[in-house]
Amino acid sequence: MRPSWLIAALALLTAGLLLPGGAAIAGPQAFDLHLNVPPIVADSKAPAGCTVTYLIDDTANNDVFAARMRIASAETDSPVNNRMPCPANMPPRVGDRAMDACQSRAGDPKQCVFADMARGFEREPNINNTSEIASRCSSDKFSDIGVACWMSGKLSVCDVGCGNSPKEAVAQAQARCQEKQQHSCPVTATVPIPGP
Amino acid sequence: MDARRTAMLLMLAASQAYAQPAPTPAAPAPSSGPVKRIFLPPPVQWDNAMLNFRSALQQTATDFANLTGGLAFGMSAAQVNASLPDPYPGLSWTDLPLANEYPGEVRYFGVPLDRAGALRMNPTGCTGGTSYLVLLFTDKGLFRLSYRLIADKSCTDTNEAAQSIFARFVPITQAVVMSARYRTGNAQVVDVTDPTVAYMASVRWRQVSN
Repeated sequence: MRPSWLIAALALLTAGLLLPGGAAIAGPQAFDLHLNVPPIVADSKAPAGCTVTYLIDDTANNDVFAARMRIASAETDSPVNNRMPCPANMPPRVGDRAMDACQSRAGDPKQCVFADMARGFEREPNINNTSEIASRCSSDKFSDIGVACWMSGKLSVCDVGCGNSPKEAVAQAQARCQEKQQHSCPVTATVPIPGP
Repeated sequence: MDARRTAMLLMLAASQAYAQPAPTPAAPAPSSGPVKRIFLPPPVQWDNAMLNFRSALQQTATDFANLTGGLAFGMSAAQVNASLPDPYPGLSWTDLPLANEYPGEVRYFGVPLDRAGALRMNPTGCTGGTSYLVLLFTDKGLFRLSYRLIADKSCTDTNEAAQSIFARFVPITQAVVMSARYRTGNAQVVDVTDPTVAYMASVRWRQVSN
């Protein structure tokens, strides 16, 4: 017998001996393969869903909360400029829920008000002197929400603006604040409407 | 137990009748004036008719544990003490003072903020030399962290530090962690509470001037 035939025969014999023991390798290594969980695929080019962001102020310590409300789109909705539309009108319960973001975190829930304040708010700092509608911005029209304030003693008196950049949102808020309050409003802040 | 710890426990015990009590900072505004911080609670998801809502984020106790270096509500006082960088030797449940402002049996101990380890939350701004963290327990375990930032000569305003700590907890849904911030006397308080304690979550600390 030539050596190559001998090697081949030995190889076949070895394989025959090993295969029964190695058959387990052919099965799954782990049985919990999470085959029922679909992979998460994010579509980075999908139009941004609707977010309506409210600014709420805790007058006890001048904390401002950005309460972001995401509204599911209807099947018939279609994006404009890659932004899904937002409802034209917001029911009061959405504003109430936004207010809860402050009330549930404040020392006294009654100190929470919408951040767009009327002239004279410093004399009567309560929610009746604030505007829910002017305290919110929608993501279908704007990208940023801003607030501008002046200090009346220890109380921050503010108004809100919407814009398509942080700079524009702050400029809008400052213009609104200065017009309504007849004060310079140097204390400002801004956040993206959909959140960071 | 060293003198500072003893003093801390004595101070807390003396005030037992009133022992109750991130995330992301706002982007800098393009303005030359001072910039406010805007707190970001988790977003709320509404259906299209805006009739029903839920938290848009799925958060669990793990989110809280990640923030606090592994702390979880329900841990015993001994477990929490052991997790501190400099635990009190021989701390026992029956030796802890009662927090009388709460209904039922609530006990607590405090640690100076600068010895709270991961629970210090590394705030921006000054905290004052006498600021401390109170850990409150029922017989079911830890249910509240209460940060008490006291202004002093070295730090006349602890508001920035309190905001900084508060901002770390606000982005966690109230179903996992109830965070609250308020002022009493010369103290800025941030309470971080287990939401399952129901009505006890609304109890606030009131500082009493001596």
